[in-house]
Amino acid sequence: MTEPLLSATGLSKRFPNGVAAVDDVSLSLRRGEILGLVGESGSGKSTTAKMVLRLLRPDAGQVVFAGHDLTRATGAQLRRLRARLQLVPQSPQTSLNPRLTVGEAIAFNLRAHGWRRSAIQARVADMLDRVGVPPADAGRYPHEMSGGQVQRVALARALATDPELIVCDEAVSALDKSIQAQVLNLLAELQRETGVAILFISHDLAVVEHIADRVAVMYLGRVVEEGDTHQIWTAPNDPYTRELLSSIPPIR
Amino acid sequence: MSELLEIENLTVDFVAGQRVAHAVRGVTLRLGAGRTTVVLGESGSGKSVTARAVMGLLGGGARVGGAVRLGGESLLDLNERAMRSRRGRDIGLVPQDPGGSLDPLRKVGAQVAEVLRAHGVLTSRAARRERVMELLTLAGIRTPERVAKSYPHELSGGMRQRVVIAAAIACGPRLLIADEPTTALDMTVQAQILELFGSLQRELDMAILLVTHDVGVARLMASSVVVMYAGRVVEEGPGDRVLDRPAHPYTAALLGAQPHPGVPRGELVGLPGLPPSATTVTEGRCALVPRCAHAVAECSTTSPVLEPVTDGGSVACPVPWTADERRVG
Amino acid sequence: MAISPPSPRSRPPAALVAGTVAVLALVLVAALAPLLPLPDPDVGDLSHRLLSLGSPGHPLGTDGQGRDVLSRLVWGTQASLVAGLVPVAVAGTLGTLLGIVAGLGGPRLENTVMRGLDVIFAFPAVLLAISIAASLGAGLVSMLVALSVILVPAVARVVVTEVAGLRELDFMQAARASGARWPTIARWHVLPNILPQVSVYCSALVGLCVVLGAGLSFLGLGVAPPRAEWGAMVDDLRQHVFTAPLLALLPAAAIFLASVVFNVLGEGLRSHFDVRSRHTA
Repeated sequence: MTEPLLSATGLSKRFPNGVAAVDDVSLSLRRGEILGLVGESGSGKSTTAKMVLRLLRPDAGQVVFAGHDLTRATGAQLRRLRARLQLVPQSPQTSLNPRLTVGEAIAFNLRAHGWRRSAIQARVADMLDRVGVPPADAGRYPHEMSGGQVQRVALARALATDPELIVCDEAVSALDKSIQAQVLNLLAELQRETGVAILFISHDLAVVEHIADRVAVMYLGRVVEEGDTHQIWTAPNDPYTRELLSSIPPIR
Repeated sequence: MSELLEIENLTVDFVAGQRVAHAVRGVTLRLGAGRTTVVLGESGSGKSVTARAVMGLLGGGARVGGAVRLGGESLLDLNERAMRSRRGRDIGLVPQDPGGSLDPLRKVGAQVAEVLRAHGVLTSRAARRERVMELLTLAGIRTPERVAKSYPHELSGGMRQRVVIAAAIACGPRLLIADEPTTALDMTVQAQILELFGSLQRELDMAILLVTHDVGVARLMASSVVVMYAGRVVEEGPGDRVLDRPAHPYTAALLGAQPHPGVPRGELVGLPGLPPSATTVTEGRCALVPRCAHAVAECSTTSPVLEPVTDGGSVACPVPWTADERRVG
Repeated sequence: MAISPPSPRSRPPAALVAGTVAVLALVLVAALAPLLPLPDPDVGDLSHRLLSLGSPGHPLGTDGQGRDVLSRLVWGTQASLVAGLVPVAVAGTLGTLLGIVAGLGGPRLENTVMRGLDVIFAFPAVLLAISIAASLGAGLVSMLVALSVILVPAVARVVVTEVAGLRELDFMQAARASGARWPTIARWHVLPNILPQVSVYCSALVGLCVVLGAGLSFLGLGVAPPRAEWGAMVDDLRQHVFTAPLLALLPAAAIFLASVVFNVLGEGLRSHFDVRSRHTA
């Protein structure tokens, strides 16, 4: 059995008011795997994501990414690791800096890792093309684009440094369904091409069922059930998972 | 015989200087007493604007055409004062964001009572208090005494939405308009609130006009469905028929775009491209043309009109098409 | 869902146009002072002291030492602009840097910086400026230092608040996760998003600073005599307020006018950026 790409063990985080946002959460992801993290508001899924990305320091527990202890990494080592671990945020309104063009937004991530100016331009055009945005749009500002386009650019930005893992935090939740379908198809296609592993965080069970190989269900700061997506959908063990699944309105 | 709510060729334009946004481009819709109609569509389809036009809540800058009749009375001809007396009494509103419609500085019980007072339903304070408890109970709140004494921020999103529903049904409206009432709520709470709508309708015999983007919600709620695209109705009919055997390519695309078990990863079937903006002119053609795989030459030269479908309802698509399985990228 | 009406093409607000024109006019007056056909502002003729307004050769009269008031007002523009602009430029730069460091450096650094600034805040600004200027000795430089010191915390506090609001936005989270160094994040993501607010705030501070600078000079802590400066002129002329009341009002009016001009510019910038942010939001 090979070592997992990401293994988070015993992550805990209390808010300043003493409430446990995340309580002893452990997750692991293999290379090229899509792990869905589902839960309702207040379940701690976004806090968990922030700790995995080291945007938030856990009170306890550690995150090991590609054999390195991310919780303890500092300086240049941390920055190098970050190139391999990227975020696709939620809101089309704020996932891109309103004052930068979409080309500059992608270039920023490349520049942070020492890419040369000449190489950056070609890479930006290539990334935009791969996410289905005309490279000629590199000079446009986020507010001139649709929500779906913005999220495609956010995906291009995350993939620009060839990461091994991207964290999608409700990355398609704010989109209209027909646009969401386009972006989900794109995400699946890019995942196949690049072999990137994805931690896919969503409150939308149907979307997670569609995209994830494995699922972890969070409730009140804990992982209550984890397993193969198909198995959880057909035979959920935990009572909360059962309630969650039964609340999905029937599609067909 | 006339229906409870009749919307006749409704148009809504927002005008600002030289530019005109056509939010609603001719919507006709009927809703019988005690029935539920779901208006299904995406952002910019005009579904929310249609609902707000019925409520008379469009504000300045809106140019409204056509007719809206509630129980035979033309709502568009009423002045603001008269319209205000219809809102809350004849028409109840449940908005998307329950937080936004509650006053953060007043206890929620007092806010429900205020609706009763404003419409002069109950004049005695004690009677109003008693009625508020009944309403909160009716809205599925098990501890009405405690909730009535709470401020909005002390309640969960689902509980706040129940309070808003209690206020909306306070005066026994004949029509309840719910605009994305569960979009901001958690899935498990959504299921409870949708169930509540069903039971309230049976008990109070009111009609519900429910606006949603969610195919699942539509399937759960609808006795009939109206599908809107780019400010027009593209298909309408009994919920089962529309959602099981869609007659319009757009309806089919909405269904295909919704992930559900059995669809392989990355094989969702939807539509390429984007819907037209509200400023785009779509007269004289089908608004779906640039995105539709079934379009023929006629689609670009004639405006489709709603024609009856053999197994119920009507559709604005003259092309005999069959669902395809192509995915969109 | 909701459709907002199309927005009309935006024109720069009237206050922005008026403020810019007026500020440029002030700058022009200050720059052209040596070229204008005016009597020497620092040399007076004691036989012509306290001439009234409209006297031949002295349209705005002369002061107690017989110096031409119009000439002194025009030359005084230089000192007032320096007193208004230099401290704001210095404090704007330092305060922005400090605010960004505090806002991006984590809660501990933020607390340290903010508590430090609170110490300065605890003193009344005017008293603090007077005591700093007095302890450094009268003169233009000590006045500028004093004014800069009291403005830094004000700017820094505005910046920290702006950065705190920005910090939680999705693109800032993505930028932190990207692995970029914090100065790079500050340069590309923070500065462009706070500069509008900071420049609005600073342009309003210029107006305040003109008044404070004049106040220090009035107290003899600013520009050294005989150099023309509006605050010092008020001090000079107030001795004659009963014999020549209008004369004393002239420099005071100049101070007031300059302060209003910069506030109008600030107001114009604010509404300009408001419109823009509504478009880009």
